[in-house]
Amino acid sequence: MSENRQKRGMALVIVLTLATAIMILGVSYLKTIRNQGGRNTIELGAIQADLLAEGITQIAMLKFKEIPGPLYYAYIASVKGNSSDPLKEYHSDKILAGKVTSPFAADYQTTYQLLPSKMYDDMNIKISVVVTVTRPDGVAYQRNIERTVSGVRRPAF
Amino acid sequence: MEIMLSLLIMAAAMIPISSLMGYGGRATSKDARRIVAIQTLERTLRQLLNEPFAEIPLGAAVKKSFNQVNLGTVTTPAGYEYEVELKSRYISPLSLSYQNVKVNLPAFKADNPQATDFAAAETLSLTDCVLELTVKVSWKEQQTLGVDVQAMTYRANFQRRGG
Repeated sequence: MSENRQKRGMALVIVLTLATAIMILGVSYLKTIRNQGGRNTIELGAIQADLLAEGITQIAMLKFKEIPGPLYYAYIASVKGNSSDPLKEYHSDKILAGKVTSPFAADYQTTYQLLPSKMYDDMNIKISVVVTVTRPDGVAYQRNIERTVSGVRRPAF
Repeated sequence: MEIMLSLLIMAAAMIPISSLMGYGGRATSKDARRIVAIQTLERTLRQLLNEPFAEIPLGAAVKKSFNQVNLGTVTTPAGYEYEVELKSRYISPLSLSYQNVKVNLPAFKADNPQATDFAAAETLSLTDCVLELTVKVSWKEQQTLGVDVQAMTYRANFQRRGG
């Protein structure tokens, strides 16, 4: 008789324990689903940054193709410590160092660098574009794209 | 009595669990649609970066496919349907600033240019040489709710002077 009394309520205890365990599993399942959604947002931010950086790199390459000499001499003057202003001027275009607000928020910076190898024979230029995309949830996401352009210096005369 | 009460509690606990399963399934499908939309967005823009500059159409909402670029209503192999729209415009004039070098000065040394060898800042203006390309991929969630993803890039005309 007393043994039966001791067992009373056990079903309730087991059920409540099970229900609590199910609730914990359910909450963690919900969290997993929400985190998955966040990962998609990250992927979109990465793709937006990559594509924007590709586009800015194209503009930087176009500028180098159109006006290579000023960059070449500005870089040497900067490296030799004579003047860094011409190099700063070359980097100052808003299209190469600015920001976009639509369709997403991003800011970007472009840097030209002459590669030291064969400086006087080849005109190898490294173009680096750093894009920071601000994700819809406010978190900043940064991508760095680098392209090397090889060119042969031809004598002016 | 106790068993009945336990059964009731278990039954009550199963109701939210079953709806959670349904929610999980819907969320997975929604994520899949979004991922495919992002992939479509990237593929379209990368294709645009490879197309000949002169053949990229201009417009605020281009939906007509051309060359290898699929625009308008696109159905993916997974069966999802998207509207792919291109906004394309020239960045014109494109202003590029620089300081020219006075290479004709007698004291000019190519391997050691001085600050005085540089002229004042100038601007090179290029017309119709760079396109701003924005692609929007939109689709419907729950049959009525419009959702979209967008990205943009630039395309330069490297052949503007014949190579």
